[in-house]
Amino acid sequence: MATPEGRDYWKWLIAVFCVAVVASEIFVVRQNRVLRARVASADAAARQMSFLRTQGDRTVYESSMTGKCPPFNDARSGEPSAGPLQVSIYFSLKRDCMSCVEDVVGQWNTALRNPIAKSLNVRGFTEIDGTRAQTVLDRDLEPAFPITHVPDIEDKLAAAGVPTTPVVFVSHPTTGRILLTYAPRVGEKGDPSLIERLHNVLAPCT
Amino acid sequence: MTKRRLAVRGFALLGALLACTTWIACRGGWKGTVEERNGIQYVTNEGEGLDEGRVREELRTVWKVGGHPGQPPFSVVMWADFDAEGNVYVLDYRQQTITKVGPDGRVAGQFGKRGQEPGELSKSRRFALVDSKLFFANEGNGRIEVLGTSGEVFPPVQLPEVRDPGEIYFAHQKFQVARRFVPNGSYVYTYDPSWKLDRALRPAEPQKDRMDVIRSHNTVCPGPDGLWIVHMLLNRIQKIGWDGRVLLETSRDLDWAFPKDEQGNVIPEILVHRACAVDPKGNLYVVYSNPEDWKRGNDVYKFGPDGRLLQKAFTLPVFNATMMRFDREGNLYVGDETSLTKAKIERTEER
Repeated sequence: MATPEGRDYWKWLIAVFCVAVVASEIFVVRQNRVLRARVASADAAARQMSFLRTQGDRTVYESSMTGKCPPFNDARSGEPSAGPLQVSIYFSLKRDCMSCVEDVVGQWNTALRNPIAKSLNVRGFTEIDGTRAQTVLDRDLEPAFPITHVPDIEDKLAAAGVPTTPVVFVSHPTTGRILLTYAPRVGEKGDPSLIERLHNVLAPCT
Repeated sequence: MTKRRLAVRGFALLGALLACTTWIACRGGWKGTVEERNGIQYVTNEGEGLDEGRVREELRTVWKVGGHPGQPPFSVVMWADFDAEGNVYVLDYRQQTITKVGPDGRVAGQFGKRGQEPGELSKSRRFALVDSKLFFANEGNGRIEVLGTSGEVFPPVQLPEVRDPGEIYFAHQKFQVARRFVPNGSYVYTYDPSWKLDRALRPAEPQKDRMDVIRSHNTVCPGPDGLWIVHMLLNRIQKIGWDGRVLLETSRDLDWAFPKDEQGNVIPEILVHRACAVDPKGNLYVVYSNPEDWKRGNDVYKFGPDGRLLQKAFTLPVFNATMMRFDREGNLYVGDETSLTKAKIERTEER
């Protein structure tokens, strides 16, 4: 198909077709590479998710076993030989919602009226900044346990790896190591789980 | 033919005139309204302000203290006041200490500490230097603390009307003690220099729900002819006369959408205003939150004594302003977390 000027348009058409084929091939190869990278990243995320789920299941299981009696063991007398468990309650009158603090303090005030009280040594820690904070503590919260004033408690707790308050740690009477932790989120008021777990821990296996 | 040409020229001229008028109208300027209801002037401030495009204000730093090695380690610079010799007393909110800075910006001493005993401070945000004594709104201890200019302790003042003094100023020959949150009572109480109650200014508004207490969060700025109450969470600024009468209410069109709940109430979670200051001429400067970054508050807008918006004055040379105030000479002091800057405002007329 030559034109009057003598140009051969067939050759041009074939050349254009060849270029289009090569370009589309390059495009497909690139897309394929991108797709493989995405699949690999999705696989990695799935593996990470699976790992986290396993870790989460394990943590939940281990927590759920706290305070239960181990299988195939003899019954115990129930007398703690090492002394009362140390209960440390940390809260902030500056940062925490007032009802959250009231809830935690109220729970431990109630616990200290129960028979388990003799097995616990409860102490509170907060920053008492000013007489108005002291009044709130004495008149509104009325803790049935001693409170220690810690200046800049939020910063000090954060430096010790405790970013949020209120938080409760139950620790071993002699080694001081943490046995149980209670860190309710806002909106989880009235959660009795720690006191229940403590009841379990302190009740002798039969 | 000549008539036709004339008509065409006339239309062209008219069109040009119309275009010019439209351009001038859209160019900026103040397009607000002033409406009087029950003796109160309600000012809306659409547009860019009366002085926008006519006057330019720029800050020139005189000195800066803090924020550098070898300088006092301020935690949060919360307030500053001045004595007759030009010394500046700077309150650090976190430490509850006062640093005395000389007129040249050099540190001359430090006193004050946190605690509950007489002479000790807790959660103090403001103090007023009157007759060589510093009177602190000692909010955490629920009283007015009195210290000398070298830290001498004087008996504190207990105010039966104000159990939570949030701010204190001395203007119009009286102490003004303001509350940051106002669930009941009044926003401001004024006392004579011997601490005898003068009057309660601006009663609390009826509280419908718990959030209304939060919505009452405010800061006060005294001016030559009255007090400005700047609501921190609402786009609302009021000016109160010394007799307690509300003189005017003003605001500016915010350049971001203001969130409201289903009942149309403003959701009180975003800090609109950060700080305010009144210059010796009675103009109000207000620090607004930066709409692009809520952690920042450094855009300053200027209102005239009549509540009309003058212009966006300048952007402060700090990340987030914690305080702002003028001295008697019109120098501006700006605090952020770690430093206090003294600056002069340079005004230039633009053509």
